[in-house]
Amino acid sequence: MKINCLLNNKQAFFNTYSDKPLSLLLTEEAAITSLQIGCGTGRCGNCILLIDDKPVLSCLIPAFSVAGKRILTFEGFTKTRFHSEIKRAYKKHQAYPCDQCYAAKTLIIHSIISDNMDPEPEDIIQALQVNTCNCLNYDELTQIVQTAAGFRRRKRRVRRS
Amino acid sequence: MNKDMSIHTIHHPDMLFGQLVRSSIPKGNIASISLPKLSDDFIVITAQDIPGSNSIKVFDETIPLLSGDHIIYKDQPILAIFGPDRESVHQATLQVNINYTIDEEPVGAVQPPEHETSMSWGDCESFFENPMNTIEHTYMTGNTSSVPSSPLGAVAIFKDSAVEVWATTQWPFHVRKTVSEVCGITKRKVEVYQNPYDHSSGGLLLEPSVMAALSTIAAIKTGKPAKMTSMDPVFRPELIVTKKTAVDQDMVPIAEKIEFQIHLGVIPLFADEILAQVMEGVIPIYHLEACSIQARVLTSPTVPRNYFFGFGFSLGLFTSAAHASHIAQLSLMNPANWLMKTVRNSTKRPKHLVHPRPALIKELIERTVERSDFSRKYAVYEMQRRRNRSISTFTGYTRGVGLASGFGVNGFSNTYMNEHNYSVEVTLDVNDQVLIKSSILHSSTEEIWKTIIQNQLGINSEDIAICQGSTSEVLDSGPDILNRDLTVISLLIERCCESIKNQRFKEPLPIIVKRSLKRSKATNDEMKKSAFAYFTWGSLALEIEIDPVSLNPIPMGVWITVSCGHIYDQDRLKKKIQARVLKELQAVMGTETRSTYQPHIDVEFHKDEDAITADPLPNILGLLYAAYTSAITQALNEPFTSIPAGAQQVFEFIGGKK
Repeated sequence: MKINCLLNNKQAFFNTYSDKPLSLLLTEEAAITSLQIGCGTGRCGNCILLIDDKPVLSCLIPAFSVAGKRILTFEGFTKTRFHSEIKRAYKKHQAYPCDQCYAAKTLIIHSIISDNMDPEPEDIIQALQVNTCNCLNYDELTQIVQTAAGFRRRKRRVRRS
Repeated sequence: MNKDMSIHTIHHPDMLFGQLVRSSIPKGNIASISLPKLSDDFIVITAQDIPGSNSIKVFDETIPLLSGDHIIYKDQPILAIFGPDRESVHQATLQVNINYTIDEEPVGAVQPPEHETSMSWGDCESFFENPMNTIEHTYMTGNTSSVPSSPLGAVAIFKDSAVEVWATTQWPFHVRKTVSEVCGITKRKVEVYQNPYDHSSGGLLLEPSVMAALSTIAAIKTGKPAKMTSMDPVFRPELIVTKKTAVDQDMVPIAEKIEFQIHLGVIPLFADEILAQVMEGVIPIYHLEACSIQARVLTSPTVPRNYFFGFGFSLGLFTSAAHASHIAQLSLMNPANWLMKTVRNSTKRPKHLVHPRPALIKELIERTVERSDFSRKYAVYEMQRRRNRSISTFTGYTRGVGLASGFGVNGFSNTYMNEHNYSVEVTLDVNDQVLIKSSILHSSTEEIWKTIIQNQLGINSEDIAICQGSTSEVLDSGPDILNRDLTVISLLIERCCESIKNQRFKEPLPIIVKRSLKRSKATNDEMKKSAFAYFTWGSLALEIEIDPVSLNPIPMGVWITVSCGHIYDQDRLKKKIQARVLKELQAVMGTETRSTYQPHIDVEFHKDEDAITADPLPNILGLLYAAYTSAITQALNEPFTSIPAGAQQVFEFIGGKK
């Protein structure tokens, strides 16, 4: 099956099996290295990426369903201006996700604060549940998300003024 | 290729992907194999295609790599198919048709006679002739499997008559040896690199070696890089312990008979070590006038069991700590007070066993009790328990709190004392730069090691490099590496630095110092069954509430006090313990997904700067299982003696009770 999509803001073309998981498609055919493919069954939540700005588990997304979609992986996200806010929030709390879940947690945090710049702890916990890595606890994650959201609000105010 | 790359992420344009076809019967012979029509892009590897030895050796035990004609366990690898992409290989494996002739022999667990051991002190029988009371319970750790959270696998690249292998192994030198023997090439031509792995799931010895050997054969035959990954579940050993305790009129234990058997699947891999570690774990910390222990290993035609974070010590400790809690509950005493009363020094206990330190245990229990408000909670829930209310799914206030205390052992016993040990080499070169060589993936502790060198030798962090190369560059730590006791490496680095400090400015550079972990030599056979080098001490309280709808025992809080010698980075260790406890609670509850509710996990370190630094996790995990089941026992008002213990087990337990 031939698939066209926008991968990290660049046009990408794949000729692949229609049911191949997106995670394997990207690692094997697009040389994306940030995807930590853990369980391959949607359990670990380490293979998160954004499709049309929504976080999805790439191991559960068949290749055919991404035709015409906009895919953003962690590589692409690091080139956006939003990455620095989350990095600063990690640094402020001296709490960093582990190597396995860094990309996934960062993309989930980005999607939380993109949806709502003043998220409630319950919303944060619910969104971050997708990733089962326990390297950071919910208190730390809630603080990180709220701090990152604060940075984004501030940046928006400055841009408006 | 980057050392931090997951095995899934390693990719080459012309790479072959492999998948195993496994036996669907436990015992029998292969009558015929019919393969689908495959194009020239595919390659099938059977036992006949193996150029060297068709076996994997781990010390004295040997297991076939691929079954020839005879099947000895269910899910035994029979053949491997490699092809240009994962999907078509998977389709091809589904079309393989194997006919078997099934053996009529029974396939239940049997006991190989060589793996049996016993120990005793005092005259146990005399105490059981006319006991005041006896308390008997059987503790079980069920047949638990877990799917690794990251895939196991290997990639082989054949170039210029040498092989480069990348594998998710914990012991790269075992992969090198297996590849060399299976493929009939010298060890010097095999370079093995480690990929990141999830060590908490186990399965990091045999599976990576099997996949590395088969990928290498495919790579040699085709000249293309070959890769094999697996997400098959790995199984833990199953332990059944029966404890019969004679107690006096004050419910103080006098003598104990312990029988345990541990089921290891088709081969009794590391059987002696596992027996030694479980033996140390099942012996209680309370004082006993007499004790007898019978231990044996069982095998059956099922997949080999995997070591998980130690070799069974935690499972043994669970049974002894849980049993202590049950006796305390029967004595109508608060378990904290009961433990402090019954733990004391004794000359009866054989010298080679770990001897309790009553003063330290008392201190640890007191700290845990104070922080967790254990005494008040225990009294409240005990009052509820004694009301003897009937257990209902929708009513009732079903809470419990458990406390466990004990010691933990680290690393190997003397079983493999003649093999390679943990080794570290530190080089101070002519440019005043330092290179550390060890053989363990160590990104998490890199900073600690650099800090040690900075403090000891006054060298800047950027001038310190850690060698993370292949088997030709790092040192072989032998089976020690399977225990993944990173604290030992820090200790060895410290010793290397001390030696360099003594030689510096006296000897010419470079100064190279190598240090290995040395164990005390056992003097007799009995001592070889035990004698560990490093210990930790701990106390743990855990509070649960049985969810009235789901029946899940939900942990409300965990309080841990641990003494593990000098700690290099308290925050890091605290986080490691918290993450591991959360993960283990999920495993023991049988829930794989992260829940919205996380218990409060409070960790406090007891200062014991003189003690040798050791990893506290084997101790904490044993205590965690024990406190968890004790809390469920209090909540349900019946002895709950097995793990895993999730909603399903509680449901079955309530059903059985009714």
